[in-house]
Amino acid sequence: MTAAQRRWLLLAPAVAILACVAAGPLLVMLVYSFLEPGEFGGVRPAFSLDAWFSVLFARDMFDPEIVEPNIAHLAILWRSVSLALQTTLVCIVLGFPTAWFIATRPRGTRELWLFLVTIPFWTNLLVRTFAIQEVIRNRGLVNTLLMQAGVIDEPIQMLYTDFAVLVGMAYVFLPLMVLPLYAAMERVDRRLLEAARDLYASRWRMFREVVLPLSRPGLVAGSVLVFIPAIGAWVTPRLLGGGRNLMLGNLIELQFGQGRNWPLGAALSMTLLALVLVALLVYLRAVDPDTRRRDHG
Amino acid sequence: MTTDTPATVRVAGLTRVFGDGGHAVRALDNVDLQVKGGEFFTLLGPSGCGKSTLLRLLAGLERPTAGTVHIDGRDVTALGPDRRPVNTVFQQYALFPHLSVADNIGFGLRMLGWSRSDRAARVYEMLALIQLEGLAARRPDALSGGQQQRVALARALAPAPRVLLLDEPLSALDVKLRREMQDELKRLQRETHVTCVFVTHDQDEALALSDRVAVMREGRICQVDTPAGLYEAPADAAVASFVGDASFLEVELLDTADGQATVRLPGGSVVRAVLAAGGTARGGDRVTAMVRPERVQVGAPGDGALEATVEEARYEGGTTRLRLCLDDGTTLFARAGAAPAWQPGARVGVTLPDGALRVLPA
Amino acid sequence: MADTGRSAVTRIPGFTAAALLTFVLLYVPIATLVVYSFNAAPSMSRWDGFSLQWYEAALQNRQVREVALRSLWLALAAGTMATLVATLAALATVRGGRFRGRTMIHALINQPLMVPEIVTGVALMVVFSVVRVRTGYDGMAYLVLAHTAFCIPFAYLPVRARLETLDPTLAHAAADLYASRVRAFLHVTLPLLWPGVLAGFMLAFVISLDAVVITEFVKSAGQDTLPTWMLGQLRRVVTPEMNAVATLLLGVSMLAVTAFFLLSRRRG
Repeated sequence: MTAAQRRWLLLAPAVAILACVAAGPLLVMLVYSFLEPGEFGGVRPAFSLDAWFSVLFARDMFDPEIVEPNIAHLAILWRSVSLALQTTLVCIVLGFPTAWFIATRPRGTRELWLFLVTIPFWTNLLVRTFAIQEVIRNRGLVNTLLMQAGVIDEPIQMLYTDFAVLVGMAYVFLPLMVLPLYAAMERVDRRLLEAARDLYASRWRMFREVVLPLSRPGLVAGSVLVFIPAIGAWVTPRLLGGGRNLMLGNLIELQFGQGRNWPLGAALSMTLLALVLVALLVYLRAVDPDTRRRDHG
Repeated sequence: MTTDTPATVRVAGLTRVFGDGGHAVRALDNVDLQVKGGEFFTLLGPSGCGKSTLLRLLAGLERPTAGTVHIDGRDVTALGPDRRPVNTVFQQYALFPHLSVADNIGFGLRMLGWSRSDRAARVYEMLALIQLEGLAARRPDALSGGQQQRVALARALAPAPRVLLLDEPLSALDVKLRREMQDELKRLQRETHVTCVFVTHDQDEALALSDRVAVMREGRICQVDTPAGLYEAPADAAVASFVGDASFLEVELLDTADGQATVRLPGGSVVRAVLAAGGTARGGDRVTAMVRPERVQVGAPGDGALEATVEEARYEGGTTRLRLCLDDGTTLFARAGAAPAWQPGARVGVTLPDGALRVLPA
Repeated sequence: MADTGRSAVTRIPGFTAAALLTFVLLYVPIATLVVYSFNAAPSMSRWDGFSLQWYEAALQNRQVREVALRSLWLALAAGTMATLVATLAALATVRGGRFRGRTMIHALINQPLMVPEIVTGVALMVVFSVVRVRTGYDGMAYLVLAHTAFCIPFAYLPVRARLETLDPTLAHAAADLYASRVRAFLHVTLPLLWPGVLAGFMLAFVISLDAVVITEFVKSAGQDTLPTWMLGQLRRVVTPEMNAVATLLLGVSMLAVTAFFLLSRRRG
């Protein structure tokens, strides 16, 4: 047996499983997005661009010649992108100082702090989402405390709003921001900071001119790692958002359920995938020069 | 370099304690020091002697536990590193990896609010000074070690600091490059007239570069003198052994007068020696005397006052370093001419001329 | 405090406070959950003292026991398969240098990480619905297969990382000592690789235990796992029993993560 044959033999099980259960179904979805919907779900084997058309556009109910933007879809697309970006932003604001804090601990205690960040991450998604529910529901921790303190008389409605979705996603995805940031910051030589201060930089300028640019690869990686699951979120908006606070993931589910429009669901899935790919491309373009530079250093 | 220039750096009672309670370490213990304007001043000592801590306290990178730092007569003890007119060349350079050579050199100027055109002119001037005009756009990691070293120097010199601090800047270079950079450093200092405080554990480097050297040990300063002064007139055995080669002999002090002493050597012969200041020994005491290898004369057996056996002969190109064992067991280092015939095991006669021995305080 | 000098100069104002606040924010919800799972009162508005009644209720709930067991054996099965397959793949990609198709293999292995779960979920639902109709089979194999595929990249990462730190000359040395290729693997490579394999399994196990979206779309009636059961419950009025179930699940995850942490720290 040659080395190449042995290699492919070792790879065969993984390739077979992934081809059948990961890559294959995606191709099926791509094909379905170009077919006509079946009457009770499913598809009819006839080529059609209707599904892709209705991702962004709609025809007037009375006069099919009139084409207008699909307001409902656009609103959901916008909410998904906007919530994913807001989640990323919140994660940056909280994750950056956290990662820096960990990276500047003495070597021995760093692993412990990192461990503390990872524990919630590996905790079941539903457990964490449920925990957020417990905190923000009308009779939850925050409202109970505020009412007992006499700050408010009536509970503030937080659960089942966009705000709840944002809080939930930021909570769930925060470790994805902290870990790559930490990895980048850990490489930063402390003497560079001292050099900046020695060269007349205030603490703030030291942060802006040295810490921030040197953490950039981690910042970009973290942002992509948060943005991708956030834009495709399905559980969090389902549990924390209200019935009208749909995100793209929920819209996709709808097409395969009550909507009974599989081609549209497939087209929306491909749209979501395209958004993810755009984020990945942004990441690759942003990180490439840095990785090259780091390899030399 | 006139001696009446006011001190650029004045340090008084400077103390730095790390940790607290039972684990407290006095890295720097009540140090007083004056560095004159335009001087190349070196802090020399083994690792852990407090020299780097002292430098960091001058830079403002650390706060002293007690004591004051004055620069140009101004008390800067409470000021951060960004408010002190000093710049540092860091060990391993600490060049900003995300900035070009030009941006590295211009960093301090940018923080000081210089205009773009002023900055460009100054950066160009500095690049010319370090003779790296062609590399302005490079990133630091595309430079050789020696080039990085020069950029670090230029970056620290660009804002025209009153004092340039150098923290073992040459330790990362190989021997040949280190020699070159020593010359380069001297040239830069001559051209810029900047006061330099230089930290090193390498005594050759300290002697070669400095106007004055402070020898440090365990957080204290043992002696401050010119390189020649340190070599010829070390204050105590610790300084003598740290700066240059030295051998130590137990001798009997016979008489003292005017900084001169008469001593009896182990073999019984009597020679005149120099008496170091601060000693309290009197006639009749057993004292330690120091001698430099090049003052020891080696000849045929029976040729001198002492008899010894050659234990090791190391040819060093031009001279041979001999390790001798006197008959009473004392080790003595000597330096003999080009390639003498002595092999380990050979018997030799040793002469210590008048004035070669230096009686050290106990 | 004498030791403030060194860090003081490079400290960024506010960062320590913000970091500590973040840690508080991370742990307050979890702590709330755990604390109220021991509350005798059925509501958060008051604390009636310590009680294990919700745990009793949860453990006596037949449905909870059933879905929890299903989750566990599914995670065990998928975790084992994924680790086995991923270890073989890692051996093929790390050893023996670059080869044609390496980038594609990596893309394939990492695909489940990049594609949103909802897309994978509906895609699997569509494909499996066809298979279900054609074969008439409606058992757990669909879930095991889907979870295995989803777990492969997670099992692959630690094994690969471990393999990269191993000195390939060790296996060569063993071969020099007349060990056959198989024996060299069993006696030299595998024992050294073992912590990575275990760590990979831990990750795969936790990921499978956690997987909710894919499970929701692949399962057929009566195949609820703990996460999908909770998903159904959480949309309704939640009883404190759920706190107990969540706390138990939290405990299992923490055990697995601690094991993973210790395993991946161990040096070869």
